Amino acid sequence: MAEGQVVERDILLPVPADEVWAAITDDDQLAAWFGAEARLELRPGGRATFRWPDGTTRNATVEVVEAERLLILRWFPFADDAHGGRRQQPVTTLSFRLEATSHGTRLRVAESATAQEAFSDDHLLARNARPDAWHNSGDLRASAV
Amino acid sequence: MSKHQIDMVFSALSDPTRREVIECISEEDGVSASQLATRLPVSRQAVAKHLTALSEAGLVSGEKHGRQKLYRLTPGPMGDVMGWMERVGAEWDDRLQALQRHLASGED
Repeated sequence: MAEGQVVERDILLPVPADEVWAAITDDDQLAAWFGAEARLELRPGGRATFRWPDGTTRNATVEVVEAERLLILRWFPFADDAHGGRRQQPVTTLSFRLEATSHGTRLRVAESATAQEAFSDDHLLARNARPDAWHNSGDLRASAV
Repeated sequence: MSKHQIDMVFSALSDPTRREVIECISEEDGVSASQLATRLPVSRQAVAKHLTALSEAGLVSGEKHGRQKLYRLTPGPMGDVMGWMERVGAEWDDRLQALQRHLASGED
């Protein structure tokens, strides 16, 4: 069950890693396949914003950027709809791992809901007491403001 | 169950000791915190803390029997986790097909 809470997909793409990297990091290219308009600040701690055609917006923090190799985003724990409503969402970490092969690039996408350091026992208990307590969590504060 | 509770289930299941607690509970028809502490390499106090987290995530429930509180699994939330995985998996299948089409079209 440790790794059970992960959705993982693995795909071989017949293009070099730099083209795959551009497709997953360039806002215009993301819009062509992700299903949402994207704005990505490509640096650790940067903000990523995705807006779906129905007006739903969801933010993420860019956690890791290793050009042409690894991109990790962490979703915020909520989504905003077009009418100002806010829905809680599971906090998931989204990773893209690229590996050059003789025929192109292997791309592994994983969306993992395993707990982050912000969800240690103490945080879990605190969060249960106050559902909005994530605002006080140090590592999210910078990106939440 | 709301998405927020799913998040709590994920957090609750992310701890290896809590997964062991769940495994122990699943083997019994009602087990107390003290009994769990004798089977796991952690203190009764730690077991109690894990049981609190698991209860709040809806994964176990405790019922008083005399002086003891006996815990049982309440497996409903696991179904919600499976549902989440199916939904997110389907999203990624669609996205990666679209990515393949995008890269094949040579727009960049």
